[in-house]
Amino acid sequence: MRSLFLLVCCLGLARFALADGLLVIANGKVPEAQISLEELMNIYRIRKVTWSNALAIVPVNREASSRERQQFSEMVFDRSTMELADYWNRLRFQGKIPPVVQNSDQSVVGFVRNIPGAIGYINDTSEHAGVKVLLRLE
Amino acid sequence: MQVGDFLLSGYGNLVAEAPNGQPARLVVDDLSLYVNGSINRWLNPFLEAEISGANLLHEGGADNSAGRLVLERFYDDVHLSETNTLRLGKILSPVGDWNLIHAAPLVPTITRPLTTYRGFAEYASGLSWLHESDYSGVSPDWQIYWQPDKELVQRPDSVSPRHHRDVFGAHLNWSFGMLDNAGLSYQQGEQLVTGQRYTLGGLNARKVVGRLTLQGEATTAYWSAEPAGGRSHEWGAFLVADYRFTPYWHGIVEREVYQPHGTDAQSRSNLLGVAYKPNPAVVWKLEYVHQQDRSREVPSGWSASCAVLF
Repeated sequence: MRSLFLLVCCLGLARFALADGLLVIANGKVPEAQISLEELMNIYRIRKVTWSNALAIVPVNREASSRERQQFSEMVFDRSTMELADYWNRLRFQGKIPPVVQNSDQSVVGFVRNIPGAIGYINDTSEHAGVKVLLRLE
Repeated sequence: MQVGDFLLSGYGNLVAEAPNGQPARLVVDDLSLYVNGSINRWLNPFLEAEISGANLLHEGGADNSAGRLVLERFYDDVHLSETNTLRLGKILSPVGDWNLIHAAPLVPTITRPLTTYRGFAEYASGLSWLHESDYSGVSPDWQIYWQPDKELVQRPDSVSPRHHRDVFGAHLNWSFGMLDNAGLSYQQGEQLVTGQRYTLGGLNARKVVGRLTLQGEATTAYWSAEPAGGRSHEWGAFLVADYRFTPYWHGIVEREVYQPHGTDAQSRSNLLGVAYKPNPAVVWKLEYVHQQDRSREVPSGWSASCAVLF
């Protein structure tokens, strides 16, 4: 029984060790130096739509099949990628613009670097020169 | 698809219906395109137009309608502040949840419950003020709207035989997290042709518990006197349970009771269905409706559909 318990613990630790964290990055013109998890949720719920200097917020998602999108959905919202996609599809039908989708971490960094007000997330091992880090998700 | 300041998207819904005792048909139920502009604080236009009811095949060849082009929504949003928006134009009336989000890929059943459209103005053309609450979710979002005259670009009678004027309404919505919500609705108006006035109240709720999503709405409305002295109280309610067996397969059960005004013919229907969602933008559905009463609007029979968001 004790061996089985240790095995389960090791498997659990291995799972966390394999999963990288995420960095929440933003364009250099965003005035905030950091944001809370609650603010991040409201940005991706399209409830908070401007930064403190009135600059429009442009949230960016990875594609639905990516590991980063799955991690973000579970770490921030405790929901599956499918459930969140349903939420954003409903918003789109209501005339709101859901997060922009980029297909790689490099694309997310490029988009965020170039678009004022943009915010996105990437694997914490990805290169992210030219953007600011607002939050680390682990 | 993003084109400059505009986001182009839409959905299509192909439906095969085989109601008991009536001809079967294959129909493009909706082919809808929406254009969503985000230009500045004052100019945020939204347009939704669709081709509705285009018969591809009809048993016996009796009806091969090419469908109708319908202007569903056309409005501009003026952002007064981060939480307040003034909306001018043609909107979907916020009565319940389903009427606001009725796109086929986003609703659980092919057969739309009568409660979600039958007894009120589904659209309002005029002014609307929307307020989003603070982020806590304790205080509700609200919307008030007013249509001073007739519907802007009225839908053809073949799409909707009932039209309204002089519509006023309000809606309160409490959001709990991303997926759960509860709402209260009020609407008053006048039905064209008959000249009857109505006052409607409604409530709606949606709750996700693990793999189970429960969604329901109820309305009650009082109509001014019927010319023939018929029933003046109209009411309806439905509850749908959507259980996610796997990430892709859903089982669906629904019960609805609806009592129209002006007649004693009630609708009491039960629905059993399955849905397959290989990804968030595609839904295949198959369902059987059993009508226990005399309603011709929701007949017993099979339906199947494929709905795609793009």
